[in-house]
Amino acid sequence: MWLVESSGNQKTDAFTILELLITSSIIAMIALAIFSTFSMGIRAYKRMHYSGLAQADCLLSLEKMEKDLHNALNFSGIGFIGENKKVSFAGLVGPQPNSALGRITYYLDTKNNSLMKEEGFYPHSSLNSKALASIKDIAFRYYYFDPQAQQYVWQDSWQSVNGIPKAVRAKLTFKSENDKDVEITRTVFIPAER
Amino acid sequence: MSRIGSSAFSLVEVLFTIAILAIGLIGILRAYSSLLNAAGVSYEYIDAVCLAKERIVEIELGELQNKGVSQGTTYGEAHAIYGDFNWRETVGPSDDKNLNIVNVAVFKKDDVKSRKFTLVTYVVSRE
Repeated sequence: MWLVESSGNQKTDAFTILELLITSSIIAMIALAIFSTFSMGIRAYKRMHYSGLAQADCLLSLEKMEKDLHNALNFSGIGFIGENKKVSFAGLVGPQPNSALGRITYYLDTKNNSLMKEEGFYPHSSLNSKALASIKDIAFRYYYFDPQAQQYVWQDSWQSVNGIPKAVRAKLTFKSENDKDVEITRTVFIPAER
Repeated sequence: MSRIGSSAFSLVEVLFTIAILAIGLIGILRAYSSLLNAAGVSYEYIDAVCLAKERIVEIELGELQNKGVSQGTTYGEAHAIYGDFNWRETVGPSDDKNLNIVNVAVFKKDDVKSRKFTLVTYVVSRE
């Protein structure tokens, strides 16, 4: 008997306590399922948002650097200068249709902990620098053929008198979401070095 | 006197409503979970591509050092951020006898029927 009539003519046309309990428990179960799914989703989103974005920034800036180094020129007017935290070389500068010869520099800004790209047209022009990604550290190494030892070796710096190196290796370190250091290494061969 | 029970929901009605609602929600939640899966797979792909590129570079550095690459198959485990992956390098003959074809395959460690990512390049063969 779901509905009862009280002694008077007035009818108590409403849920019983049993009905309410069953309904609310079913709603609670469904709400729990939805909540757990969404909280899992939000956790996954946060993880991707923080570490994923930092990693995506680093990968994108490495991709840019790879492209520029790949197109580096062996030009005596703009020497290839390689240091541990900085690499500077001749290449195409500026947006695509108006790009011209210039100097491209990638370096670590230790004050702001960011990877910077600086470029300027040859021979004289104001330098335009911008931050590519916030990173913890970057280390460049240079690969070349040592004529004395008759073999290929890696070294930490490069002087422009030797032309340009065979390859450049960048080891980039950035902080992940749980404050762990993550390293990405990228090696670029420079075709202009015959 | 009005009919008894005509102005309130019965339990059966409420249960039916919830059942229909639940069927609708299942569809939404399934779409949601497949979205999360797809996002995870895309991240895996990025890592796999980076690892495969690194392996190709190692082979090319070896090609410079040793003036060529000899044929054979090498297996290895990746480390650090690529710790989830294994790789396999196969160097085989190509149509040109001076060139070997290199096939670098990257796949997940603990997943037998996982997706495989491959990069192919040519290197100078070593006689």
